[in-house]
Amino acid sequence: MSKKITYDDGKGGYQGKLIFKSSLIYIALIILTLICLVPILILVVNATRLHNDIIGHVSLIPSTHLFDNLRTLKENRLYNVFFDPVVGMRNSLIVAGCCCALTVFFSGLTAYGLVVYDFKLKGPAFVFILAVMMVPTQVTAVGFMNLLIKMNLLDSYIPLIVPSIAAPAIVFFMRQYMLSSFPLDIIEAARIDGSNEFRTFLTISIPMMKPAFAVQAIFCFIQKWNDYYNQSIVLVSGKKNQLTMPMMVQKVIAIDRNADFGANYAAIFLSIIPVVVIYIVLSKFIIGGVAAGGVKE
Amino acid sequence: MNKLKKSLALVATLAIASTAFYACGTTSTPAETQESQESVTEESTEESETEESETEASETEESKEEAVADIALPETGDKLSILCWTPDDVTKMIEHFEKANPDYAGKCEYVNVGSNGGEAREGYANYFAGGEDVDLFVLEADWILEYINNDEYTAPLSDLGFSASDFSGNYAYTVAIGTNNDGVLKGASWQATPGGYVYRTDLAEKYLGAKTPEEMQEFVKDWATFEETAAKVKKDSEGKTALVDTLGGLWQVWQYNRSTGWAKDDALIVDDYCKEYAETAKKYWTEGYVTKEDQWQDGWYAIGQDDSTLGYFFCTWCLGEGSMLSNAEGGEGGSTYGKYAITAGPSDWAWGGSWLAVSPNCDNGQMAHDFVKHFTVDEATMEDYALFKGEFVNNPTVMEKIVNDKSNSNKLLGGQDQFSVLFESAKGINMDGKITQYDAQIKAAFNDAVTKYAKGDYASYDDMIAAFKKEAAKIEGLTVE
Amino acid sequence: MATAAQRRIKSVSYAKYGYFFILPFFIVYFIFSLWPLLQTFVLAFHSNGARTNLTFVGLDNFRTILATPAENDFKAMGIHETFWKYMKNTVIIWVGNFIPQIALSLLLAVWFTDLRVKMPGKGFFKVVMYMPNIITAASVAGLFLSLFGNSSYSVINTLRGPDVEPLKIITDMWQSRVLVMFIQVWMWFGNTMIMLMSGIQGINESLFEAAEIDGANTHQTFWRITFPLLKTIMVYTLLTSMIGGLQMFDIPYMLHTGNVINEHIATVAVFVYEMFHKNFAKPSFGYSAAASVILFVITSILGALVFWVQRDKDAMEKAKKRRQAIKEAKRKAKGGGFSI
Repeated sequence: MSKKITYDDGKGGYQGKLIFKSSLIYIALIILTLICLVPILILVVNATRLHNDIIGHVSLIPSTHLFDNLRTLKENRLYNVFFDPVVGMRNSLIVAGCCCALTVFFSGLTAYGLVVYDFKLKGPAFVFILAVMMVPTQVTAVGFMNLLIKMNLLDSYIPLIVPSIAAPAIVFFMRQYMLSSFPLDIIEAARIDGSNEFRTFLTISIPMMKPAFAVQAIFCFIQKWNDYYNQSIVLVSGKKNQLTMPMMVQKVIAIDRNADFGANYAAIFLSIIPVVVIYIVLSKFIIGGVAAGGVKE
Repeated sequence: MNKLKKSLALVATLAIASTAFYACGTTSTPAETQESQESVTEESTEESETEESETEASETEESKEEAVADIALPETGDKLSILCWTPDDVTKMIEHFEKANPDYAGKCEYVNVGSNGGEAREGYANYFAGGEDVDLFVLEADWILEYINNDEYTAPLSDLGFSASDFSGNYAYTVAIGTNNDGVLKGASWQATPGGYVYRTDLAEKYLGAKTPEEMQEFVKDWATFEETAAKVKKDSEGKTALVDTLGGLWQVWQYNRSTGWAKDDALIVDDYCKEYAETAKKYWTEGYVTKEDQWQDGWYAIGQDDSTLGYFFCTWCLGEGSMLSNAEGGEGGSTYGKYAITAGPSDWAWGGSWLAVSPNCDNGQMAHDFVKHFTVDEATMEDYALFKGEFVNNPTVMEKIVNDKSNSNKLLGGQDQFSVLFESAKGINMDGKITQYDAQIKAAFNDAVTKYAKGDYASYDDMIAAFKKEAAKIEGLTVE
Repeated sequence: MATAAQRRIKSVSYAKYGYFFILPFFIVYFIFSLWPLLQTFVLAFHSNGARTNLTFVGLDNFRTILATPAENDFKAMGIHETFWKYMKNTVIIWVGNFIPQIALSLLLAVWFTDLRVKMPGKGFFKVVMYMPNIITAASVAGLFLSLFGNSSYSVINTLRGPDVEPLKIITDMWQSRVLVMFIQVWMWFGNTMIMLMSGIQGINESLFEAAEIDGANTHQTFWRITFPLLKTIMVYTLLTSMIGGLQMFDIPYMLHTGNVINEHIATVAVFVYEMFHKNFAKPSFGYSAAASVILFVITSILGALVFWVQRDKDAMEKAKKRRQAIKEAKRKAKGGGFSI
């Protein structure tokens, strides 16, 4: 068992108690794991079963009809008029990818500006960012909608992508990171070498900030990929070639005529594949990122 | 290279941001908004001017083909875009239309807006705001008035060169509904939607001894008999089988049979009818005369195969291939496939209905005209479509002919011709003065309240009505006392 | 000794670069966040039922939402009661999700960081427990709707057997609320757990070791060391979770069938959204905006509390000392003593 208990005082049964406790903890953890995984498992399993098998019968054993369900999604008019995983993923990728790039780059830039330079409005600027960090999107939604109507920006990706240039929480995180682990001398050195300020940021600061950038990029990507609220406000007309993955899934849920449950599950299944894959591949990073940044929506 | 890309990205985004800033600065001034509004009105007056001149031209040059001259809307677009929440109808219509008019093959496009009628009601206005191509779109009875009373969204059918007399062959009620508050005809329906009671023949014989639809009708001929039958079925099946599919089904029959509209002069009407329905629904629910499933959900179809219900309240558009009835039977090869039959049921009723409306931005005037004509005016093509899709088309003469020719038989109903039953029901449909522009929202609120009342969420009927009134009062423009 | 180049650099002012670097952020923030926020405040004082040409109505919208309406004014009653019902839902669902969530997360965080229990597979458990957090809320709602659906044929009702009265979880008041709480816990406990773990790991390890040497058991270690030191991060978690809870939208909005949202789980954010989104041609911008302003005020208070809790301890200490020094000086000055 544990090697850590070298300074065990030798009380009788201590070791045994610890083993007992560990096994209790393990049982609890396994139950929790099941609670986390079973719904997802049912989703995956049902994506492989036909509608008539799903209705009224629960199973945890996959069947063989995944491709039939995918075919239904592709060929049944009920679905294919708005559901197209390729289009949906492409659109989500465009939105989430652009947002992610802009957020990370400009947050880095802003944080850099706040840390490296001394200027009159530096203090007020930082206080402003702190103050607005907690303003929820929902609060500005009405005004945002109004702005979109006036600027004729409804149904455009611009209001989904461009605002991510200003992400106060991420600027705050980057600033803290820079303050704690960014050697300012190096900038001085670059200046002596004749590098201009912007180039210094690009060639020296960004590579040094890579870990922080990576973590924020992953979070930003996942968050924007899943952001139904803003997408549903902006993409009002719901044109198929513009829909993102969460919006397509929402439409699948809303179908009230002759829905095929196998196809429904398959659609939800398709929608979660990209994030789950990214998550599993980058899980170390992500868990570390949560711990470091305390990122919460 | 990489740096270059990044700086380019920066410049580009800054440019976007600054133009956005600029745009915001200008459009927010009221003067500018006014100006743009003026220009819109100018445009529309110009349009009407051209319309006038065109009409004049047609008057002088009588030799010119009349349809072309009469159509005010241009023919500049390359695609006829038709919006609807479900592909069921419009894709079939396009198929039929293009087959009959090879010139238009591949030029019609179905566009999906919303996943159900309620979503489409919100969705259309949003879709129009997006500035996409819209020529025709489909409206539902419950909210058609919201659209046809708004000139921003709909153009009169006369802009497509139609006159009121073109629709004289339609069921009168459909024309009445398609006419807005100013008496302008803006919607044309391709279907009439009478409903009946669709029941399991095997269960009817088992519990009631009814062998034919005529015999079955005796058991469901009016509400009192219907209730007796429900009690009998419930008892004989040991509580397993209900007579009505869902509260939603019962509601559809009742909501049609309200003698007044839901509002008068923009004021909500709550009367004895509301109480009568609420108490009926509660009774059916507690006595088990209706299943506990929700309409439109998976259980609605499943009960059609496991003896939970003896029948459904279905209307014309529930009875075609791939429709609700087909689902309730479990599709071809399903356990109750073909084991249903239709009878008129306790009262005449109609459910929903769909109207074609023209967008003022329609840029395929001629094609839109031909499409509307194909399905609502031309009796020959309408008859063909009725048999092609199993649609109850909006023309009594055509339907009577089909019934008399016995040219229709429905596999889902074991070969029975649903038109012969529904044709009789359709004669009684009358919605004069009964629909209001608030119907969709009021009915949703009322049905929701009654469903909760039936389930026991409200202590009394008065509590339920109070809750319903508060919900209805949230509808913009409606007054509640 | 400074070189010529260094001297030259020192003499150049780089302040303007600071402005350049933060400019894009502020331009975009002003257009897409601040302007809408101000616009929201403006709309809150304007009429409802149209997209343009709104008239100024003063505090009417706030009065309708907050004040008890006159008898028989069904419109005001409808808006007023809906807002408060949704506010109550928001609080109930938040409390019902936060308490189990923080308790579970704390327990797990303590287990995972317990030095004495060496746990193989720790990484695996963490990965699995965080996983629900990354799935699109729309997918989660769709999934749970089919698992816990009202129909006799949903997974839960199938498992209960054919002869049992089917559960109507999706529309029942308390069952649907509990389901939303469960989903929220399911989605967020992994996140909270990891945050708390990082808090515990931030506690000086020697403290735990000392406790262990002194023979403290797990209970004692937790209540005497971990818990007091975790207080700050717990309060932070609490407040951010409150702010997050006020914004709760996706699951309460999507967890229903048909066109009527479930009034038992609808939150304030749903109120805001429904009011301006439901009827596009005639949106109730005024009520929606007024509710947003109320939300904003609550959030601001909570946000201020967060900063108060998170305030820099050292800086506080210094400020306190400075104040004391000044006091001392004043006292001395009063007493005619010398101030040094």
